[in-house]
Amino acid sequence: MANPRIAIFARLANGNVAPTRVIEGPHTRLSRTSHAIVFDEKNDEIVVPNPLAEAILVYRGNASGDAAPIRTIQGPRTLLQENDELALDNVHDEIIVPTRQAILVFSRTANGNVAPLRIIAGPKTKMFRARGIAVDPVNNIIAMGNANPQGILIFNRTDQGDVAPRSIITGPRTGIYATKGFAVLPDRKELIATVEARGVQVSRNVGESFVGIWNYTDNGDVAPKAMIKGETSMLIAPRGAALDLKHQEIFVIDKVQNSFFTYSWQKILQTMQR
Amino acid sequence: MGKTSREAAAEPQPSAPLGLRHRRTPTPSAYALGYRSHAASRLGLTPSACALGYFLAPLRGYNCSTMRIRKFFVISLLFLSGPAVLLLFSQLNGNLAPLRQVRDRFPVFADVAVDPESNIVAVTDENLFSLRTYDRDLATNDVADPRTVVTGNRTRVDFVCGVALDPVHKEIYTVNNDTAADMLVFKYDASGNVPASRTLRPAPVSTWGVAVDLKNDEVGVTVQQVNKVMIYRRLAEGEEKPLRVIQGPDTALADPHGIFIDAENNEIFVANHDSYHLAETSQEESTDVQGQLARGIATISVPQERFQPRASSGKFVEPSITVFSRTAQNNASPVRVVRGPKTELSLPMKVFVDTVHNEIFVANSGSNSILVFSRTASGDVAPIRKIEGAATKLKKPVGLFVDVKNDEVWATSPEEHSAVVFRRTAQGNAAPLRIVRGAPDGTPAPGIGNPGGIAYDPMREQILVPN
Repeated sequence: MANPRIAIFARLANGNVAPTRVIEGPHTRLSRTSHAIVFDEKNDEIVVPNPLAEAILVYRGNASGDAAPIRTIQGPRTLLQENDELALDNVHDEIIVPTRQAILVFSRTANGNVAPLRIIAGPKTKMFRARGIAVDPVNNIIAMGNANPQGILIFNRTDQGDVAPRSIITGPRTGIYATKGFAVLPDRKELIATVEARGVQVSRNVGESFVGIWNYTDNGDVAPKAMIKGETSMLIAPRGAALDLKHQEIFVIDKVQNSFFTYSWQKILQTMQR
Repeated sequence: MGKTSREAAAEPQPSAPLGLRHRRTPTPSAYALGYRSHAASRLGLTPSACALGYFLAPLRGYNCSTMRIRKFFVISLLFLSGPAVLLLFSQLNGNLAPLRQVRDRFPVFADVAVDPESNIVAVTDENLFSLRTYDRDLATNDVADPRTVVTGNRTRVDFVCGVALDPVHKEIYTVNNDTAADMLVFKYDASGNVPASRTLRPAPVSTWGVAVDLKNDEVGVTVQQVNKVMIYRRLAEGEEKPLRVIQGPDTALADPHGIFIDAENNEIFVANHDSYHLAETSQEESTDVQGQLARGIATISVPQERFQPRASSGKFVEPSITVFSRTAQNNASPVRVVRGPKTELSLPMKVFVDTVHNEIFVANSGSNSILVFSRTASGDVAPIRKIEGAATKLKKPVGLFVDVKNDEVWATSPEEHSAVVFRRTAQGNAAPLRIVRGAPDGTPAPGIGNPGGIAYDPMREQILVPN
């Protein structure tokens, strides 16, 4: 829908249903291009990017209606540009924001025109145009989808400056054309990535794209150890992914289907190949 | 209050929302996951459980020797072992059926345009990715029966937003927004999964508005992501270069949406939201990568020059209607700007100029209203009238069109799956004259459009989805 908003649904929502709550309106400062979102359970906050205004917006966890952000990171010192994605580390209180060829790390409580705490940027990083990002504050990694080379770059969480990724998952066996959404499983040291198959936005073929799971230690041309993939999955162009470990479910949003799907996480675990 | 027969024939069924999305025949494994045999299901057994039961029962001492039970298991084995194997195979490959899905099964109308001479109204549907036409004077409270539905992967109709009609050449113009941002042109009578008559690629991503200027034989589009207006020959195709581009810090363009070319008074009107950043050439090169990925280009080409982080230019500005000379280009300043608290502009979507009565109409999404200004309004001025209130049925209006011949104004309410028609001079809490519905009245709308992110709130057990 063309209207900028955050729609909030009950966990068990199913079918042609309206959201239970919506954050929308001129005071929200949302634009209709917020392609990432993080919920901060520890601080009960919602964090989204607004790349058209080069801003990061933070709302209360229970925000509703035309609610203004409680904090906004925006201004020349922020260096924000093309900030479509973000990740949150609520252990070290940091917001991680990839831009075109850099990863900017802000204090979680930053507000206004503030400079990043750290920047990962430079030719060694191999970064070009982030396609999703996640941080694991326990095992200290940042995983970022990359448009060129097409794959997943994994950095140390505290990396700074022009550093090479500690590993790159890329190659034909990975099945990666374009990633978009990421989630991490610190206990299992696993990374979940949504992977869009080549040309599906045009062909709209069901079942070619997938959700893949890799180990943190994977490097190079490594196939995912498990997938949600196939016509039964109904996925065409999966984007974001989020986990509910209490109920053993994974939520995947699909850009072409304009919908989100809930899958059994337990069933995915049963398909682990390694 | 269901779909009419023509609607039902023209549209895919809800279980296969687009037709195009389930073009392939489901695999046996899909059936295996979704179905059990009647006999097995009576016993609450899956196919694989039946098969296993046959082999394991003797070992566990169960009496399976009666002919009836033996026959049942033999039949079960013969008919169900295949699907059972496929079930196991599909599980191993992760071909999982979703437990739940939240999806709008109905068209969500974005923009609207009318040709009173041909008596048609065209709407873009950004949910099921279709372009639809209806009879302009259709009067029913049921789900409207479309004349034509253009949808399917051959059409390239995607996350469509703007629509414009060319009543002389009987053509429909539409632009895809946040995916492969093509401008597509179809004949009035095009229907089904048919290719466009012409396709133009104005930008890699994020075209929103489209306007046709028949007097000067030109067409204009807005590009949200890089704050740009592009003017082309009306018949431009493919990668053709624009005749003129309006872009730059002096233009006051900010997340531009609707566009109207007033050929009578030689002006261009653009509706702007409140998100601004200074778009640089390098950003257009970068967004081109997004476009390549959206189109499925095999080898992605990227700029060789590395981009160093630099001072951000992002800021929030007041929403506005900017008015340019029709021949403006480059970093041209607008000749007038309607902006300020008195204007009540809030997330203005489509803008339309009634050159007969010298009025500007704005679909003002942020206040669920239609605002009307003098055509020559400038600065912080109040609207001369408004259509707003519960009786209007306006909810976050996006599309808008003024039909001067029939003295009507149209607007879309995406969350209501509808387009509503008022008298051109309506004001206040006016009830619509007619409603074109894409779904039965009261159908809830998930309101998910071109989504990219999702998050889970474990405290409230809620799922968050931004557009």
